[in-house]
Amino acid sequence: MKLKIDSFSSSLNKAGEEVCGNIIEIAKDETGLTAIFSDGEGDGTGASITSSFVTRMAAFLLKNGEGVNSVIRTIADTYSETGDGGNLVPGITVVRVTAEGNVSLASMNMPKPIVLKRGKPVDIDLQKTKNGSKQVYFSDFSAKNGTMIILFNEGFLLAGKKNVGWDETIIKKYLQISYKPVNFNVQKITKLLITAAGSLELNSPNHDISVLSLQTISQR
Amino acid sequence: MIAYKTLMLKIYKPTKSKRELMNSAIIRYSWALQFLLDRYRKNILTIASSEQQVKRSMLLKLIDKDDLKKLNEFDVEPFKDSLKMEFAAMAANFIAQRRRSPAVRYPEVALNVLDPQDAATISDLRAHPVYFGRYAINRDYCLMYDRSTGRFYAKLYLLNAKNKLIGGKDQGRLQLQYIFDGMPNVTWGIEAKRFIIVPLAFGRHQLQDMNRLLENPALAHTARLKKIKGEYYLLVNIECDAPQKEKTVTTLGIVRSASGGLHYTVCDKSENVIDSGTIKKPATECQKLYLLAKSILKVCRRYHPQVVVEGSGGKNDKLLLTKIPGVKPLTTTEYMRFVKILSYKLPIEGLPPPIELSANRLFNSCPVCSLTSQKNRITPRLFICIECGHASAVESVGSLSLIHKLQKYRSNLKYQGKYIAKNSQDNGFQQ
Repeated sequence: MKLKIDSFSSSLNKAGEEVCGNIIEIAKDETGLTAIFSDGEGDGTGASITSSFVTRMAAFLLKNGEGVNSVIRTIADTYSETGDGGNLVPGITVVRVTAEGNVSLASMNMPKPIVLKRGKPVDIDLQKTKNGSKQVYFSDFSAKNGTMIILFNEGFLLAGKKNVGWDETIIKKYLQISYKPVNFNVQKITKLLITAAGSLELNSPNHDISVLSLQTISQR
Repeated sequence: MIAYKTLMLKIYKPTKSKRELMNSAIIRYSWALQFLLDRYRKNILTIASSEQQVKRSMLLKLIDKDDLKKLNEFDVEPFKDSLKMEFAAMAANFIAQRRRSPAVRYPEVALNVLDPQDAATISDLRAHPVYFGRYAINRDYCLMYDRSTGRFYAKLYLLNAKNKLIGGKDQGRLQLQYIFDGMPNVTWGIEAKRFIIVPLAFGRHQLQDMNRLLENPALAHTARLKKIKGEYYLLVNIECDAPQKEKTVTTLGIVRSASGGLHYTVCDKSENVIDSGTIKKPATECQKLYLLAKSILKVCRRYHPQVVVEGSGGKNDKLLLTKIPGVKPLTTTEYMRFVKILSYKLPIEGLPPPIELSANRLFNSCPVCSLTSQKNRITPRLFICIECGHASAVESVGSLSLIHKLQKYRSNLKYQGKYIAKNSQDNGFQQ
């Protein structure tokens, strides 16, 4: 059974910044979908330049036939340690979802994604490694009809954290509670999460906030 | 427009004999009032069950001469007019309430003392306060001022001719003047008297009003003599200029906070949040509600808002879904008392009284999309709407929801064509 992959992303700029430091690029073809989600360290133009650079780098490597894991390994090797030479290490996640439902996910310095199957959060096997101070993890799993992969940056997790305890567990609980079998799509879930994070920051975020949602739907 | 305010003046360290006289007066007054209420119970209940229009004069006429003579048994000759007025007021009030709700009980003047002699030893005397219907030099009550010391005194007529005080002290060094037209001097000797003179104690704010009385004695009106927790107070009604009503430009929602204080949100006319914050529970339990009201008034002075509060003391507002150890918000009774305090403090500031809106499931409903569901309460402290994603701390949601409810009611009223400017101002609404 072939799967159709839907995607939707949304971002909120840090209050007072005109440029978002997060870049999300999605490439679709007949065989599946590839998404690159990068988070530049800091905010504003500086972060935007860093994330653009790392996104270009990943896109170039993917175009030249590199695998998802290999791309992240190369990027992790390329960047020096934080503070060394003044370079700031960005965060990046690359996901490849095929029409057959195979998901390859690799990430560096980004929060763990949330995977929902029919509205229920499921744990995925993550191979964690450390490359210097950089947190790198890889995961391969299979998606079925209705599987959702939700990716977000560190700024999303920091929204309102001090006041109300907004964390991964609460986000999972919220997604589970708000799930409805009908009309629950990537667009709706992304908007819900972005609205929640934005309102927790009283609509003037202290960080750039971005959410990318992917959903696999069986083609009939 | 004329407004009245009540000055609470403490009777400063009355002697034992004066305490006994005041206790006795309060009890005799209560008994006499109860006598009238019992005597005319049937007549009042009949009027209450009819649809007859009630006038004060009609109720005053109920009392016949024989019954007025019988009142003398209680030695209440100085209070007869006050008793008649108070009886008429209580009866009218009862009739109006009974017509609205048949469950309303007939008024009773509560007493826990049988003998006036025992009253002096009881600190919490639950009797009806004595009402002084006139401000006069030679009857009811009058205020006095000693120019040499700057102190204030009250002259209270508590005794009838039969029980005159004999052998009291003379004027001594006091150089008293009546606070009355022309400020006449007070003179008295050791002859028998029907009144007592008591010194008064009060705070800085009351002093300003007392100084106004010195300039214009006609501002003083009726008064009551009341015993509260073993102390005696004279509650004097004085005339004051009604504060100029300020035009409200914002809306302030106030809800109970889980920590025992209050949470408020201020929104402008376009419902944008201007300010929001929590007022912590005061460290001392004593005067807690007054301190909370004081903090809210500070916010009001800054934003000139229309205040919106939870109705029925926040009953069923679902602030706490389950009992959390160590977390104790204001009780519904406390919150109701706080609203009562606000409802007279706000008009003094020139603002309309607070509007009470239903608090039913207030903390479960989304201020943005109005969806009300317990699922919105992800944790006891965090609210995230499952429909629109609006997220906030639970307390902020409550205060914001109140503001949105008010806007919704207003727009509904406008839509129905019932938004009449005149009525709306009376209700605290302003366009």
